[in-house]
Amino acid sequence: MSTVRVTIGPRTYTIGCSPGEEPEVERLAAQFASYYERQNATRAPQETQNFLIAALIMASDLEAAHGRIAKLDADLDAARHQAERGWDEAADTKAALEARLDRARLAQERSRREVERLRAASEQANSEHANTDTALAEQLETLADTAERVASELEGRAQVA
Amino acid sequence: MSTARTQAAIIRITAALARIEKVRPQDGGDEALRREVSATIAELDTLIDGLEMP
Repeated sequence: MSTVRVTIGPRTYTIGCSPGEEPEVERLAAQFASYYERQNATRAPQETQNFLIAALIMASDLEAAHGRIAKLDADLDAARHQAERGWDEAADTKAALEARLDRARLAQERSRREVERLRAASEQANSEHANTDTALAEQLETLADTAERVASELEGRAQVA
Repeated sequence: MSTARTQAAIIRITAALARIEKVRPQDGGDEALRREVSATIAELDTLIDGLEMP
């Protein structure tokens, strides 16, 4: 068993405590002494009365502290609910964006296939055009051969005539 | 490539027709040759009409 000597107002008191608790007892006693000191000008002759007043002031502060704690708890709950709503909204937004991304990917795939189809059709059309152009050139060359042969024959006959 | 071939063939045909027109006899000339030239030109026209255009 240890003892601590604490001074409250004009008197010093010896208080028993467990070994190691001395600093805490001294700190709490100093805190109470500060409440006691607040009534300096109006201190009563009886110390019991002074202790009662100090205890009432301390209880008032304690009540105000409880009120602030309750308000902080309420604010914390509100912040927690707001954070949960924000989280839910973020999750909904994420799901919506993923759905849009999926649709965009599908549209991109469809576009890619359409481009491939058009490219193949264009290549086929070019090939067909080239074939037709070649056939026409061959026909014209045959016709030119015939015209040149006929012209030569007629020129020969004209010279004879 | 084929377009160049086509143009070259057309130039050859035009030149050959000019040569044929040049030997076409005038009125009073060789009637048989005149008919031959007219028939040849008609034949070439028929050939041209028969071309398959792209």
